[in-house]
Amino acid sequence: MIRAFCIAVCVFISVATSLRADQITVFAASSVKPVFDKLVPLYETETGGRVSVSFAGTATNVRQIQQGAQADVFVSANIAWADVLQSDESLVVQARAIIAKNRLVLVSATELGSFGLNDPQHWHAALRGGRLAVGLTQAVPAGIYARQALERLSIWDDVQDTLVEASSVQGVLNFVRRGEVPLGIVYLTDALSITKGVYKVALFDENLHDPIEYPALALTQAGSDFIDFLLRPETQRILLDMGFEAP
Amino acid sequence: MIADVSPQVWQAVWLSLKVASVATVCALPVAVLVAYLLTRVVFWGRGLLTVVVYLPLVLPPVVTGYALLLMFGSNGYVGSLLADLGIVFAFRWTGAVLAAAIMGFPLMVRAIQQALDASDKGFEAAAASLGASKIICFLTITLPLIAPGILAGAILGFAKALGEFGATITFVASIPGQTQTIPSAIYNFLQIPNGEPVVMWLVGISVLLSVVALAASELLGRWMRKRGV
Repeated sequence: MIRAFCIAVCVFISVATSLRADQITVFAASSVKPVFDKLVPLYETETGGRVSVSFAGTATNVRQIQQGAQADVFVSANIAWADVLQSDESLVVQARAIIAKNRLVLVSATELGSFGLNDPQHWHAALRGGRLAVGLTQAVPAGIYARQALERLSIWDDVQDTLVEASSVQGVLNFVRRGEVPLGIVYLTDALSITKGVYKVALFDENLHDPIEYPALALTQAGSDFIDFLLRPETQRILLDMGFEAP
Repeated sequence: MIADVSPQVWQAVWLSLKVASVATVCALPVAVLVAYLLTRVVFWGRGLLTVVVYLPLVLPPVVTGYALLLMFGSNGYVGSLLADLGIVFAFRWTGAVLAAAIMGFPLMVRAIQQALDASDKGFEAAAASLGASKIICFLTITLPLIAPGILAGAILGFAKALGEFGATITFVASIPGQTQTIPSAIYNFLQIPNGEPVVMWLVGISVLLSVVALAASELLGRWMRKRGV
């Protein structure tokens, strides 16, 4: 009886450690969820290992990793937070690469005609006294980029008092889709992932805001392999299909 | 950094106090009524009312916030009717009050129900036998008897309202001066690299507010017991 129990424990431990060996944990920005849902199964079939992904706001991810969460890969929604991890002395970054770029787009709850992003008249007409939803302009990357773009278009002063700042891009999309706000600013990939109730109005020119880049950091050797996979041409093609741009 | 953002910090503190106070004052009378109905009156649908009242306590706050958006948003089922009367919740501080009140409501009802259960029904029966009407009986006998419970409920509800985050940010987002309360300001600054100094300020203030609220309830409770209520 005791011997049987010991054998069972040994078997369990060996199975558990072998599982751990081929398992990697990825902490990723929420905005890459749709594409990672496609990429992860591909990687799993190819390598026979398991990938578990924790999607959350980038700031949350960074704080969890700094507090000791075991991540092999971290995919950040902006450069600043990747730099925070990179400069953390308790962590060893094995590799770092930009895996994709994104664009900012104005979306609306109803179909609008041609829209001049730098024309205050167009903004006032489209808002009709309603509000403009963006990510938190100090905190959520999409909100920070939106503010930069509005400032460079000299539209900021016209719309500042109408802003609704949501805690995530999903929050912005929700307000637009429910018709609670007439306009919102989100990533192109988010706008493309929704088919009903949200209309693309106009793309913001890339030079209106800092580049929207997704840096991936490998914190282990297994993590580096996953980043190599993300940079392969076949994988990049899937990213392009989902509306991302090549790094 | 602190000098930069201090207006936003104080704005959030002031707004939180305003939202929590208004939510408590508005919800408390309703909570007393509902607690009384649930403990003293037998009627059809009592179980249903219990479930509805306690639902916000057990549901994820995001769900409550989304339900509020569906119902009280400017295109919501109730919101569009109220808009015709000039009452708007969407993206206003009043929306934050509504969210805070609904989240704090079950805690208020719970505390008052417990006080009602514990109070001696004999006094009410005696007053009724001497010809006091139900209303007089409630106002002069029941209400003073359960006053400590109402106070406890008010403090709990106020504390909950002060800390409410999930339902508020889902329903009315985070607009400085309108709907950005202490918790959503903390969330905001936690998203910024090097936002910690401001976060520590806000955390310190919210701990202070909670301690003051608890101490106030303790002192009031003692004073009431001394008065023999």
